[in-house]
Amino acid sequence: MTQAAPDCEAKAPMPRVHSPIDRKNLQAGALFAAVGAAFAAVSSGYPLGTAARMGPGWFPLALGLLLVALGALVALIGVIGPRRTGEPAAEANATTIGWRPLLHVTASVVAFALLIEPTGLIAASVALVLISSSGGWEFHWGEATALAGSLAALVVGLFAYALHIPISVWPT
Amino acid sequence: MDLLDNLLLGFQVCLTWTNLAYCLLGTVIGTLIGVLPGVGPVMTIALLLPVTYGLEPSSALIMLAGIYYGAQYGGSTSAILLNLPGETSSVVTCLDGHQLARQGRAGAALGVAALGSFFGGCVATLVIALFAPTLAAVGLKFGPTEYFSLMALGLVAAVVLAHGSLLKAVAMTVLGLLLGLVGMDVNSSFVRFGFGLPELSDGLGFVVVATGLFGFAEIVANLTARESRSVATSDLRHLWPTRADWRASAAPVLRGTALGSLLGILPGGGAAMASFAAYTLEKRLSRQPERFGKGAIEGVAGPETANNAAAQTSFIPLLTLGLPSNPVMALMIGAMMIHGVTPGPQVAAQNPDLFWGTIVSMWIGNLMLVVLNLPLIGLWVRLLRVPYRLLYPAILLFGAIGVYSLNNSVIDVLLSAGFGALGYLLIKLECEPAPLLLGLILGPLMEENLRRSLLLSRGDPTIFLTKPISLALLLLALALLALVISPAIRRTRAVAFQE
Repeated sequence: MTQAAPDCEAKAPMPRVHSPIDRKNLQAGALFAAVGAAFAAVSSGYPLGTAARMGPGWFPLALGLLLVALGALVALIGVIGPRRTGEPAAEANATTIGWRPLLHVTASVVAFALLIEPTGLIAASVALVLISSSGGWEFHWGEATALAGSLAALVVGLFAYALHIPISVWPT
Repeated sequence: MDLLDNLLLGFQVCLTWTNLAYCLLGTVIGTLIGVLPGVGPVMTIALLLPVTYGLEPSSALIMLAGIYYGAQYGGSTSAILLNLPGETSSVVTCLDGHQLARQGRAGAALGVAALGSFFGGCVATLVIALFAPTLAAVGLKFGPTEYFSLMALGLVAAVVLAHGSLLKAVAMTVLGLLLGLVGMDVNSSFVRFGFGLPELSDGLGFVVVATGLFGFAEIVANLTARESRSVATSDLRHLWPTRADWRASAAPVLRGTALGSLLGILPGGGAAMASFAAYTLEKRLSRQPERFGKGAIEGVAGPETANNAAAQTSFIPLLTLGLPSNPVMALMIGAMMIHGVTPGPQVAAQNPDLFWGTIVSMWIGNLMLVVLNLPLIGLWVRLLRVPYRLLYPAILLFGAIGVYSLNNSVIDVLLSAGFGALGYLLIKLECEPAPLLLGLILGPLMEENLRRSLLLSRGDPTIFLTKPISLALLLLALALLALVISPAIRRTRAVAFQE
């Protein structure tokens, strides 16, 4: 399990911005509470049963409600301010999201999923490599095409022929 | 002697050409992905899981175990030469290892890391051989009540050992538990949260979630930070540390071994935590703590030994109780299930060749690593010069194929893309993904044991307090929580994670 630590020096304590509201905690809390509420709402429609003979809804409902409470607490800490509660403050307050890489990486995997069955491994691999590499910092068509071609050849050789994984190579 | 007989059996299993070859393959793949930042053992093992289908169960486990501890070896190479941790467990190795490399002593740092890891790995293997059978015997006495309490203890430990905010870690665990409940309920065959998709009735695949959260999210996070790399290849000829290095490293290696073996057994622990703890310990004990961060060889020896020892002892809860202490071990459960072996206390008795073969293979694998790696460092350095823009599409492609090939399911690949986006969001919100995965694995197990316990007690929840083993485990969990919430420990914990 690797951690998002591209460089050790990033681990050094950063100068902290103290603002009255810690947005990251607030956003994380809201996310947890929303997901918890959704789970609780869906599972309340399932048979609950009793403690001795639990139905399928009992445990998820309890956990969902617990998650709502936890989310509310995390958000509360975000509002009160991390210093008074002793919880570690989020490092930088503004959440900057790298939309470009996020979009390209997600889209490339989605493209692979949609292409793998109708067009086979080669086309799906080429699509994944081209879409994902165009989301990086440096992008050259020539290099990316060469990479796509050689990776497609590699995975076809490795997975379809050497390891015999049942996967279609060509369009069916 | 029993132990000797067992070890002998293990050697018989390991010393066949096939198993030696798979052990070598596992350790080399492990080192490779350990060297490369952004590819972890979770993703690699997930990818190779379907491939092991055709192998003998013991060969499969030997190879997969090799990947895990091999990765701990490889992680130190890129940490020392590039100031770039190949694995989370090597983050602290950067601090002093890279400084040593800058002073032209990369060879000494790499040598101490490799030999320290070897020592830690050997002792940890012995620890497993000595304690695993005893623990397995205890495990056989466990009923659903004890299992539930044990898992509660595991989750508490996972939360305590997670980075950053405690409360967020608890919330992530609960979220993981909930995600684990997706699919068919074993007691009533009622499909929960299936939303009409037949693919979801078997539950969310662990590999699907792990590849998304750890693999894909990681790539997005790495791409948002611009790449900057400089390989410090100052002097790789003198790999053998000096006599002064040995004297300085001996005690840290011993301490790292003890600490790593202990933290590896703890549920929720594992290699990363062990290396952090060992670094803090060495700095505390040192007479000149100001040398740390400026190239102290002790700061390499302690953590590198500890992470290898922990990588191995984390097999103990898996082999004896059937409980995974970290995501890699959860994949090992998957690997055992593929071959029809249900992990649990009965494995040692029913599949002694598998049990002892895996244990002995760890010692052999460590030997291979030390013999192979020192000469191969030049090769790894060349590999590290491959720019990330060529590397990450390959990682993505392997991840996508791995997810697809598990069940030939398109929905699984789409889900993993979704979990990748979610994982990136969680990284941005500073929520550690590891507790979520542990919750995901334990969710259905915990529910089942809770329901069985309450069925036995006719709905009386005090059953968890009246059974002595269960009570002891719950008290332990409570004590652990109290320790962390107490202000004194909280400060040291903050310090430990700062470094």
